[in-house]
Amino acid sequence: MKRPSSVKSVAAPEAEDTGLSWLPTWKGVYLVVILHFVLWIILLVALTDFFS
Amino acid sequence: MSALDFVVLFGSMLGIAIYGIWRTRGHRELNTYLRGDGKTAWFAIGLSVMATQASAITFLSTPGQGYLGGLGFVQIYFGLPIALIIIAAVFLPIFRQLNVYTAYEYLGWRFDTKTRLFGAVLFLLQRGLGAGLTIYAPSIVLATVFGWPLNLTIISSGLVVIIYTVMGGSGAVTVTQKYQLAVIFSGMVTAFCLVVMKLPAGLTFTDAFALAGGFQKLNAVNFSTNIHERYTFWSGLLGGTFLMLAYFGTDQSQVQRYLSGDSLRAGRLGLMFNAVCKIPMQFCILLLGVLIFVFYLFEQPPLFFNATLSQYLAEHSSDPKLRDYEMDFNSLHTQTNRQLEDWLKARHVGDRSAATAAFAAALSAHQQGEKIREEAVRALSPIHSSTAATDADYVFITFILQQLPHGVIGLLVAAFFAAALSSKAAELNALGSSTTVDFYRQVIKRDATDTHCVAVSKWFTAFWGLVAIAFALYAHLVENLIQAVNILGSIFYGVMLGLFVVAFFVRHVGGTAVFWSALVSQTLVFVLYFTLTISYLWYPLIGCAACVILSIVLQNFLSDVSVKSKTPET
Repeated sequence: MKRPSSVKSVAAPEAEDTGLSWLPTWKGVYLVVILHFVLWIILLVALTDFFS
Repeated sequence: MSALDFVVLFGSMLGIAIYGIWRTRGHRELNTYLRGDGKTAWFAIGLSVMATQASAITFLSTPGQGYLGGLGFVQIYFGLPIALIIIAAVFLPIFRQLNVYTAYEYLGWRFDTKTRLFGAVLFLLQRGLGAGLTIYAPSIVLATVFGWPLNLTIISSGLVVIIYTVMGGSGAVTVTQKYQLAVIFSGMVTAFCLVVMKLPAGLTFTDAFALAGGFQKLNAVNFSTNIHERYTFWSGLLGGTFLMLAYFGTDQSQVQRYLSGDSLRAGRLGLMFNAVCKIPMQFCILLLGVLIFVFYLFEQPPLFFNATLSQYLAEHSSDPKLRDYEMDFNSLHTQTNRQLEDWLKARHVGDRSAATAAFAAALSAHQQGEKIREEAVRALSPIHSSTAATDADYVFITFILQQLPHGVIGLLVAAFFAAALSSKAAELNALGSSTTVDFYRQVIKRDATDTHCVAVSKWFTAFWGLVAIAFALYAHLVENLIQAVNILGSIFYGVMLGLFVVAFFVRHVGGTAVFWSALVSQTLVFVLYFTLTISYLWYPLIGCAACVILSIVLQNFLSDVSVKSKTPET
């Protein structure tokens, strides 16, 4: 198994294409995931408040 | 179960298993046996990661958790999206760049052999014990469906999983998991629709929600800052992030799944798929349990859902004390039912005061019924060891067998087995891989060929399967399976995560400092777990923080000693 020479050579390749035409960057993908999470929290809080 | 149920059950299970073995025939190289063919697409990785986490426990025990405790359990997954983003951005690129078989290889590369072995030991201990719990869940189904002794079903279903995993390796796990998930989701969606259809006529979906809310079953988010409360927004967000970061980032059963992708992109998108889908999925499974609770408010539930206790009750129906418990329980349920019918009528005509009074009476009768159930459990506990477990794990299977039509029963039992096979196979495969790559090839036989390692890996897989069976024989002592799995993970995952956090982010810390810090931190977590009563979700955070802080302190101390010893005396 080949090992790279140092950890520094192992940079996260954020420049890699996501393959999603509507979300070309990884930062955009992560942002959509976070927004989806926040939306679910809001829905769950609303459900809790409305029916308790 | 009818002939139709058996056709659905065995047809779906055998079909998937034979397909997996056929698709992966000839995988005799270590690389393809442990990681698959490396060509898995992102969607298949996403499903594989989901199927590995979603064991039979998820689909059997979680509705029971919803039935008893409501939606609050969903908070444990609040840290998951954040954790998966961190793994996709930081962990995954490094693992792929280093081309590792196991996550612990990276620890050996970054620190030293002893730290790598320690990380692997923590994984093997917690996953080996956790594997016992995942064998136990489908055994409950078998024991309840066929009336076989529980220990016999544990051993037989455990052996089936061992044979399946040893024959197929990682490739079989990945290629079959998507079909197993298809069976699982078909079963769960069908069950959800049927529960809704079985609610009493005149009870709308809004009424059902209002009823569940009145019984405190829809409290999905709790912002309490009390650290002794098990499931809160804060314990889920902070503790849950560390728990999920450790599980998805350092547990070989998951790392192996997303390393099987054809690119970094495939692994990342597979993880993001889970970050988006997991909370809605768990919410729906818990909601299914809540709706079963509403259903049993109008339909007479058994005094015990637990099949063993139910059978004991039937066999000792002449015992006056037990008969009294059952009669009182049934009578209180009838009162609850009547009051709720009054509540429904008053609600529909808009009579608020009558609705409030009827609901209060129903709630009171229900609470008295639950007290009777608890007293009966206490009365039976000296006689029967099964009373140590709650009814939660038996609620869903009892509902399926008593209320759903034939064919659907077969589909749901198949769903439990699909879930058990998919997660169990991934766990055993990871345990076999780690033991072979991190121990056998590292410590015992460094010059072992790939063919030899594949053979050894199969033996280790079988060995861990037998350990899991042995542990499963004692799993009836745990309170609730889905909680037990998470508690076990919480005890070990924090320190495992700490090792990787130091490796990734604290570059000046070396192997000796991190090894001793991890050892001390794990001991600290054990001591705290047995002395404190805080929510178990905090332990991954505590273990990780202790390991990182101690490593930095110890490294500074070791550096000072090293500098002093190298300074020439004047």
